Amino acid sequence: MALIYANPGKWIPGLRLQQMENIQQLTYFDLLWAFVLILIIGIISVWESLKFERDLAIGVVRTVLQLTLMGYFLKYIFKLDSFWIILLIMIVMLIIASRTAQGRLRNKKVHGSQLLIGLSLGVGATITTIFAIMLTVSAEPWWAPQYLLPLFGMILGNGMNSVALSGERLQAELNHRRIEIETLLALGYSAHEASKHVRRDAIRAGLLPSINTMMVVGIVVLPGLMSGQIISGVDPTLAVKYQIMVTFMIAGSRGIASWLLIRLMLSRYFTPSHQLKYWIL
Amino acid sequence: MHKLSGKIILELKDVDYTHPSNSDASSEPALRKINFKIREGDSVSVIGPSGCGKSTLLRLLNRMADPDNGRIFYKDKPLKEHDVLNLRREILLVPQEIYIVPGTLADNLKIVKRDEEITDDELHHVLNSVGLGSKPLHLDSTSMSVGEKHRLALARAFLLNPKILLLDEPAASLDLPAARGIIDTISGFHEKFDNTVIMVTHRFRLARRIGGSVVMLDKGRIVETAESLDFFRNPQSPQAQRFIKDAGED
Repeated sequence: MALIYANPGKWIPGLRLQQMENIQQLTYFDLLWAFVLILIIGIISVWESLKFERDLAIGVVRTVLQLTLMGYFLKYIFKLDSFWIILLIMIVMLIIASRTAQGRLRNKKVHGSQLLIGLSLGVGATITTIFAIMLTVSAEPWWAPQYLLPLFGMILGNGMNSVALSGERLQAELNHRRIEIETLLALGYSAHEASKHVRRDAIRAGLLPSINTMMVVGIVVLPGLMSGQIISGVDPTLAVKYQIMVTFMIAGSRGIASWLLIRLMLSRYFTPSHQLKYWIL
Repeated sequence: MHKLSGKIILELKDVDYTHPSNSDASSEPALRKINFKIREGDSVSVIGPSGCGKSTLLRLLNRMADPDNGRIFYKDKPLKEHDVLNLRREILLVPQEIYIVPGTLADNLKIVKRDEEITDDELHHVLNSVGLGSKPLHLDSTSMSVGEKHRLALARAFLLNPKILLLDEPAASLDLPAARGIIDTISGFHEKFDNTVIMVTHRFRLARRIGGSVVMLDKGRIVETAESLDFFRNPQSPQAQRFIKDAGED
């Protein structure tokens, strides 16, 4: 297997793709061997009457179709070499992520919650992507799609899970701790002080997956990005550096997005006179 | 206990309130055209059947909610012109459902004065005043009985020594002897510090025991106000007569 050493630096459309041709190539015929594993699951499904065969077949078709289309789409985008198209794609990704996260909230009574989620995710993902692209990777141009789109996607995907977890926890805690909050408000605590425990638990819920991952990464879990790079021939020590950067970025975006969402959402649950809007709980 | 000579400390003028709702369906007003005055040092029992707006009225008095129409004055100044956080420490609400901090008895008392030091002597003193003097400060609060929790809630309020004490069913779910004990503790505090006490209760015996004056609510309206003795001896409104008759077995 030929090794190429990914060298973050100037982005030259075409050149990078030529370099990629040096790595171990996979044909669609090669992928058939991987498909054998799916067939084994299909056999187990029939054997154990799991009635899983239809979903499995649809899943296989969708995986192949969606990823193949994505591959061609990315290749096309890389060739276009346009900042505005990249920006547009990122905005669409953000909208879809916000809608998905909002869909996971059980209580949809908070006015404008999708906007709050979008804002939190957008701020969290943008700050961390800027750190990664401009300061760590130092790509040229800074918006080089080879770096920007995958990193932004990873950050957004993780941020989306975090804001969904935090938002859902916030709503559950507000319901669970209503008596506590109202007692403290009645004792002259501000809304910020009275909701301290709710805020803490909700932000922690969003950050916990990152903290857990950081505890076991490299021991129990070999992250997909790192594994993919090593398989495609990248020096493992370099792949590790990329993984450390991505792990920190994901933790950063999860933390910023969860914190911002909880601060914004909590303000919707109280009036300026420190009254709990119990009717939207 | 009703002091006709005291200055008016609280005044409600044409107060209406409807519980906010997230649904489009309009809900019934919880309070309609509420007018009454309370003098400094008064003790007032707000009585009436369940759902008549008693607890809602208390929430308006310390701005846990604001009226839709009408005005409330505290010390001749509209309630909204007072700093809300200071106001809530002067007009203190003890809710019906008691929040117990997971921790010790002392932890539960210290939440009242979060920025100020409270000495153990102060804590012992207040616990004595509510009949919990024999309890150690490090007692696990979760092991307390319902009656003890009610007394703990009173102890928190007494630590702040508010100008007006709002009590929402302070003896709910207690049997009559235990409830009387709570009422006597409140009366003792009221007499000692001359604070104004407004107590919501659906048990007329407790309202009679604390004395002062009575405001009777029914379906969000005031149907009768009177001195406690007059109200229980000779109720004027049919609602008050029915309420006392129905509650006779309590």
